[in-house]
Parts: sequence; C-alpha cells; structure tokens
Amino acid sequence: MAIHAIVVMNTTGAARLTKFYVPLPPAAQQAFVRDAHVLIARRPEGVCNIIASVASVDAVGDGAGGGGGGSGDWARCFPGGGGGSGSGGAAASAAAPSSEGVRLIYRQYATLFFVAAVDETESALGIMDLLQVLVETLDQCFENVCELDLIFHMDKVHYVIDEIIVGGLVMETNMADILAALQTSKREELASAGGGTGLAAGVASSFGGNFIKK
Amino acid sequence: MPFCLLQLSDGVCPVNGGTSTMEKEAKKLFSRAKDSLSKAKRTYTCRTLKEVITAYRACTSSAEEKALVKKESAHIRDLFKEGDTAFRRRNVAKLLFFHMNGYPTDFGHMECLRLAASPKFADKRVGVLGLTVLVDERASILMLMTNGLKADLVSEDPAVTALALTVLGDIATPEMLRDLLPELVSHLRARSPYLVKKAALAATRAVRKLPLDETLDIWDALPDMLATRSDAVHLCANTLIVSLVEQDAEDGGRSGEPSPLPGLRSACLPSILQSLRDAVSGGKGQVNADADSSTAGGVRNPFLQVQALAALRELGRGAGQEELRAISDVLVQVATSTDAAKLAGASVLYEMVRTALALDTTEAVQQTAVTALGLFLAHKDTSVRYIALQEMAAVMNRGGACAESVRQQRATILACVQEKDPSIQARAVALAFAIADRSNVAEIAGQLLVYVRSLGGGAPPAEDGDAAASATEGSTESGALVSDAATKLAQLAVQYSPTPEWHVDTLTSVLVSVDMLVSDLVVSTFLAFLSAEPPVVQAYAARALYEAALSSYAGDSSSQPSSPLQRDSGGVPQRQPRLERVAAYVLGEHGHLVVGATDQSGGVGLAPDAVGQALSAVTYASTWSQGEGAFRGGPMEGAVVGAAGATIGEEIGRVRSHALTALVKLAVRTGAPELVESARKATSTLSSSRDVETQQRAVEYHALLEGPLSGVAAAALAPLPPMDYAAARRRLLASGVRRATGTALVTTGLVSLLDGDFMGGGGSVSAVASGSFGGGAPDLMGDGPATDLMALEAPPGGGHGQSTDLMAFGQSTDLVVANPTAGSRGATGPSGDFASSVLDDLLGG
Repeated sequence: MAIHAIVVMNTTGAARLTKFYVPLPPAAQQAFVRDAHVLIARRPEGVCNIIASVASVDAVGDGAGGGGGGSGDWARCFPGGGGGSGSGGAAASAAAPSSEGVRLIYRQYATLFFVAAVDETESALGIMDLLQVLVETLDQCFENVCELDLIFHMDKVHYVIDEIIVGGLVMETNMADILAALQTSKREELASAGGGTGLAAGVASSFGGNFIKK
Repeated sequence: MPFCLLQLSDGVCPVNGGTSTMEKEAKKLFSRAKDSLSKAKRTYTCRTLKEVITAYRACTSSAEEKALVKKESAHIRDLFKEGDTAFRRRNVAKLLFFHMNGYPTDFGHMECLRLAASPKFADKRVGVLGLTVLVDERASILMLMTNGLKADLVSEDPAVTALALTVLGDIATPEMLRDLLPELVSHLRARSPYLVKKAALAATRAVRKLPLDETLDIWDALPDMLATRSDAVHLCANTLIVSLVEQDAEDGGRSGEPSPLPGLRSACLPSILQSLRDAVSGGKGQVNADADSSTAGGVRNPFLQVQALAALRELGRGAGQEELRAISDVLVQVATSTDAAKLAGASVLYEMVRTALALDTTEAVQQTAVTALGLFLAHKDTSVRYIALQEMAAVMNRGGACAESVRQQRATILACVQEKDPSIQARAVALAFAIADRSNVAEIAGQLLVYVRSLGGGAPPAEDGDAAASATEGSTESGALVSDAATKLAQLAVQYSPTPEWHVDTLTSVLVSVDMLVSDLVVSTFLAFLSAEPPVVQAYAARALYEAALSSYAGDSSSQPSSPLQRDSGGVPQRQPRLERVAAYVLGEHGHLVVGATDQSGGVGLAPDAVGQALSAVTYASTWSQGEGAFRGGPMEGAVVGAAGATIGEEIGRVRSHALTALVKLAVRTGAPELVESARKATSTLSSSRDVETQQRAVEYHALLEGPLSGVAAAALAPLPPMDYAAARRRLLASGVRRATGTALVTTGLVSLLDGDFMGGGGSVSAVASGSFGGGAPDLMGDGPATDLMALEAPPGGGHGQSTDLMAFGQSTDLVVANPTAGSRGATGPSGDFASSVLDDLLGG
C-alpha cells in the first residue's frame, strides 16, 4: 500500500471528500477524519506539512471497534501492509500493530485541507507535489475551484481523483492527460445517457453538469 | 397524469347502488390508482443531489441532519426497491454524500452493482464510483461482478474497459484478480497508454494479492511497457516493478519457481536508467514528447523520476557490480543536474538520496547523498528540512561511513536546533545527540544547553493569577522534553566529556538551567562520578557549585534568616532547590578541600564565613519557605511534579537537610571558627523547627557538635567512601538506551510529544503529569526520612554507612532499578499517554 487515504476537509473539520484505499469500516473512516483534523488544525502556519504517526509509541486507543467512539490514534485506523485476504473482522485488522509509519501529509488551500495518509514507501515530498497536482486539476475542472464546488460536486471530484490515483498508487500526474481523460468519459456519459428518455437526459445533465468546460 | 388519476378515483367513489361486480371493479381501480399516485408522488419528489445537500447544509442541529438523511434514505430505498431507473444515478450520488458524512449506505450496494452492470456508460460510471467508495473490498457482493467485469475488459469501448480496470485496481478481491488475470495481462500490452497505465496498477494489485507463481505473466509484460514513450506508463511500470520485487522477496523461492528477478533486472534496468538520463538531461525525446505539461518547478516529470529511482532502489538490491556502477552513475547525474530549490526538485533529490543510501553504491555517491541532505537542511520549505533530519537520523542509526559524513554537517544540524517548528527542532535535537562524539561534544552540548534554556526550563516567566496556571500547563509539556534533554546532556558528559572539569561545568550548567527537571538518576550519577574523581576535581566541583548556587546567599549582610521572598522581593522567588541541594551535598562532602586559605588547585579558598553564611541562609530560607504559600512554586511547579516526582516544597525540605549536614561536616572537618559558629547557631535554631525531621536532625547534630569529636560523631561525619561510579554510569546510559534504541525511537518519542505541542489540550496536560509521573514517582526519590541518617547513632560498618548517609542520592539509583516501571514510564509514558489522552479528550468532548 502506498496512499492509504485522501481526505479533503475544511478548516472546521467538515469532510468535503473522503477516499480510502484500505478497507476501513465507516465508523473508522469518520474517526480518521476527526483525528486528522484535530492534529492538523492545531498546527500553526509555517510548520512542516508532515505529521509522523504517533502509533509507534504504545498508545492505548481503542481502535476503530468502538463504533465511532473516537479512536485514540488515527494511525491505528489503518491495517498494515498486506491485509487483503478478504476475511477477518474489521476490528481485528484495525488493531493490527503494523500501522507504524503511516504519516499524514497535508497542504492547506484557502479554507481547505488536502490530506493524504501514506505509508513510508511513499515519498512525503512527492505526495506534497501530488496534492498540488490534484488541486491544480480541480482548479482547471471547476474554473477557480472553491469549497462550494467540492460540496456540490463530490462525484466529480471523485472522478478527478480516480484519474490520478488508482488503488492507492499514483497513476497519472500530467494535468493535460487527466483533463483529456475526464473529457472523454464525460462525452461518453452524455452520449449514453442521451439515448434515454427526456427525463433521464435531464437528470444526466443536472448530474453531470458542465463538468469540464475546456 | 396524477391529476387524471385523482379525478378517476374521485369519480369512482360516489358510484352507488351498482352491482357487486361493479363495486369490486371500482375498488380494484381505486387501489391501483392510489398506488400509482404514491409512486408518482415519490418520483416527482425525488430531490436532486443539489437540493439534498442544500437542505443538509441548512440543518441547524445534528438531530435535524439525521432526520433528513433518514427520510431521504428511506425514500431512496423505496425507489431502489421499485426498480426505478430514472433516478438511480442521482440517488447513488446522494449515497456518496451520506457515506462521507458517516451515515449507513449498505442498502445501496446492490444498486451500485446493478448500475455497474448496465450497458449504459453513464450508469456504469456512477455504479463503479459507488462501488469503489461505498463497498468494502472485503464484501462478498463484489464477487457478483466478476462476469460483468470480464465482459467489460474485452469491450470495444476503451472507456468501459478503463472503468473495469479501475475496479480491478481499487477493490478487486484476490479471486476476481485470479479469474480476470488473462484479460488484465492482455491490456498491459494495449496500444492506448490510457489503458496500459490502468492495467499496470491493476496488475500491481494482483501482484500484491496473489502468490508469485500466478503472476509470472505480468513480469513478462514489463519490458514492453518500458518500451513505450508514455511517461504515465513508465511511471506505473516502475510502480509495478517495485511491488514485483517486494513480492519476490516475500516469496523467497517458496513457490518453487526460480526467481524471475534477475531476468527482470537485466530487461528493465537499461530502460529505467535511460529514462532517468533523459529526464535530467533535458530529454532527447525518448520519453515523453510534450515535455511542457509534465514539467513542475523546472524539473521534468518529477513523479516519474521519483518512481524510477524507487524502482532502481528495488532492482539494485543484489545487482551485479556492473549494474551497480551504472546505477551510481545515473544517481550522480541526477544529483548534479537537479535543482532542489523547488519542492519538485527536492523530492527527486530526496529519492536519489534514499536510493543511494540503500544500495551498495560507492562511497563517493553516498557522500553526494549526504551532502544533498545537508543542503536540504537549509531549504526554505520546512518539510524538506524535516525530511532531511529524519533521513540523517536513519543514516546515523545505520552507522558506517555515512555517519561520518553526517557529522560533518554538524553546523547545519545545530542551526536547526534553533528552528521555530517544534517537530523539526525535536528531530534536530535528537540528531545532534546522535552525532555527538568526543571531538564535538563541547560544541553540541553548548548548543543543546541553549535549546534547553529556550524551552523555558529554568527561566521563571511572569506569574500572575490565571496566567500562572496556563504557564504551568505549557511547561509541563515541555517539562518532559527538557527533562529528556537534560538526561541526554548528562549522558553526553558521561560518555564523551573531554575533561572532568568540563563534565562538572556541563552538569552545573544543566542544573542551573533546568534545576528541578534534572532527573534523580542524573544527579546521583553525577555525585557518584565526583566521589570517584581525584580531589582536584572534587575541589573544582565544590567551588563551581558553590558559586552557581550558594554564593548569592552569602551576600546577606544581616545574620538574620532571610526569606527567599524578601531576597527577591522584586519578583518571583528564584530558588533552585535541586541545584542548591547538589551544591550543599558537594560542599559537605568535598568542601573542606576549598574552604580555607588555599585549595588544592592553588586558587584562593572560599572564605569560611561566606560559606557558613550561605549554608545557614539556605537552611533558614528553607524553613521559611515551608509555610503555606510562603514559597510560591512559580510556574515551574507543575512541571516539577512531572519530572521529579517531588514538589518544590519537598525538595526544599531536602535542601535544608543537606545544607545542615554540609554545615556541620564542614565545621567539623575544617575547624574554622566561623563555620563552627554558624553550625552551632543553625542547629540550635532548627532544634525548634516545626518540621519534625529537621528538628530531630538539628537536635542530634547539636549534640554531636557540643560533645567531643570521636566515636559516634566521627563516624557520622566521616567522609563517605567513593560510590560505584561504573554502575551508576551504566544505569544512566542504559536509561538512555531504553529511550533511544536507535534514533528512531527517540525521534518518535519526542515528536509525538511535539506534535502534541500543537494541540495543547487543557485537561490532557494534567493527565500527563499525574498519569505518567505522579504515581509511584515520589518513591523514586527514596529520600529516606531524616531518621535514616540518625541510624548512625549506632554506627554500622563503613560500607553500610554509605547507604544511609547517601540519603536521596545514593538510594535513588537503587530505587530506579527496584522500580522498573518508574524508569520505563519516563521513557514511553508521556508520549503514549499524552497522545491518546489528548485525542480522547478532544474527541470525546
């Protein structure tokens, strides 16, 4: 695993987008967002954008099993490296000790925090660059992206991220290519939806909006 | 439509007197009409995503939000049940929103699956999105898509295939990957780079989830992928290589097949090296024709370079000499032609450093790498500095020749100790400790003393009302840090001190700077060290400590007991109890070497009257400070509880004991009339002390002074035999090992505290103090009650006398061992407890 999660939230901690690349029960996802916000919001400006995991010290967090009761430590949210055998309770894997080395990398843009949880195989500086690419791409898609754009078009933000990251791995960082791919998908979507009833077409346009105007 | 239905139902009801068949017919019609009506109503009231989000945002309480989501979810569920097709995309999008906000969306999983299986691309796209976001990759429901995915993978429409590949890369189960591997592998050689890159990442997932022998087809496709000209394909191919090598290492030949790694290495290494060379040399166009769009910060496609360097790191392990030389060459090329001023360049250089240090590259390359890290330390981006420190700490941990190169960066590292960002500062401090050796210890310790002082350990800040409370909290947090740093400084002194005098000076400075935050272990080791040194050093120490701690008391012209409050009437009482206690002890033990005409080192001795005055002033001052509120602990008190397990009040009591003992010992040993006079006065004054222990001790000393100096008195006041310095030293260093098994642990320990620094939760702070240190820690002091000392009245053998008269200092070391939790708590407790307690507090409200 490389990137464990991408979270966009505003400075008050409201999630604007969450995308997890490791299987996490919903309660643990919520706990992660909360914990990450607590950690990030208190950091003054100008300090570094990397937060080391505090899980390596023997924290006594109750993991994610508490049904959203606030896990003691965000890094505990993540199961360790392999963990894909498809079985095993969520709580068991959330308590796996191998979540060491998961770090938070974040950048702030206006009222938004873009946060990535990554393991140590990923270069922290590279991820900071990646967040920049993500934000620039969103800016192109929405023409001066602002928080409201993300709120009302969460699905589109997901589409953008899916063109950049797949399965927690960086796939494409060339903005022109990302935008081109999004445009192609958009065209396909309109074409396929256009064949339906008038109603469905209306839905499609309201749903798809004018996603990419380029 | 609904209107006509309404009319119809209205029209049916009034029919009266008709036949029973007519009535039945009418009823049937009526109920059907009602159903249609409610369905139509639901359909027409299906809100758009935007409406739902707007309504959600308009909610004023979380109860309202919950109600809204509940209602909307029920509506969506009904529509799903009815098999609605017109709104399902919109409804899945709503579910995404609910999911993000923490509401259950399980009922929508099946609908996502249906959408994903729909022939319409628009449906498929939303369905896949819903699946990848809402459905856990461990859910068995995913198996149902295998066949649909198979069809999509061979679809003529690349957009459909791309969606299928995204599913495979994001959430596919091992079974699905196994079933679809042939189709997946065929796309690794597709013509469209768009599909190849997605297939490459899906293949990466397959490699991670499946055993090695099932994924050998993927290995074979790599050379073809690297032969393409697309940057993105190269990027993903490099990612794939990294996980292939990892998988191979994990497999370790278990599968019975010969490792495909050497073949892969020889096939891929040249292309990767070439693509890196092209990237750094400005590109002759072998990779990526449109250079502009992928250039960031003057660096050509930094992501590709980073991933290529990571792949080199994996492939280079166990590579032959020839290949390693080629890798080294390219690494140097990357290092020399990358401008690290921008973040993009820094990330490429950082990856180069990691690869250079991980492989058996030549010394020159490693040197280059460490030099690059040194430059990072002066980078304007704090994250780059942070990374550099972390990497250097890792290098130090590994040891070897590179450690020496890191030492050469001493100046820059020490500059980072002054950093404003606490997490960087902590790393710099940890690293500074790690690079210390005999040659540079003076410089490093000097800087670290500045750091310790800057944390506010010794400086009493303004104290008024509630400000004091918050100051206490703040200093409790940094208190543990300061205490740590003081211990580490003592360790440096013990290990590397160039001269005994330097050792004495350093410890004195530490005591002056942070006083109560110096741990008992440090103090006892220092005293053991002194006891084992020749008299020259002991005299030096006695003089130094006297001047640092006590000489200011000698200035009092009046022989009246002076209260510390009077002494510092202008501000905060500046008592330094631990320093005074150490000074009193050392004066008592070794003071006779310096009090008098000339001391051993040839300097002018301390004036007996001044010493007598100072010691009695401390004795009295301590008495005075015992009353409630007379001694205001000041902002340090909270911190003190944490670090020492003793309040300042208790510590002051010990200072008094030591000062009294020192006074009596000095009087007896030097025979100076001024000292004898002071001792008499002090013992007689304190014989009426309110404090039982003090009173008892004073009375006994008084009796000793009055009587002839022989027998009991001589035994009680004899110099102590040297302590076991070697053992004390071992204990001190061992306490460091526990805290610092490798720099990594130090780093995390410090950093978690530091990351905590930004959090500054109120309640949590006291939790640190009480939770981590409070319990059991006072035992650690082991300052046996004064009666212990007086056990000497029946003087035991010389060796036994040591353990009694050593009082706190001698015993505390033993107690550390006897009470292992106390030691380890100091090491791990604060950070762990702190992190969790803060989060609990803040999260739990």
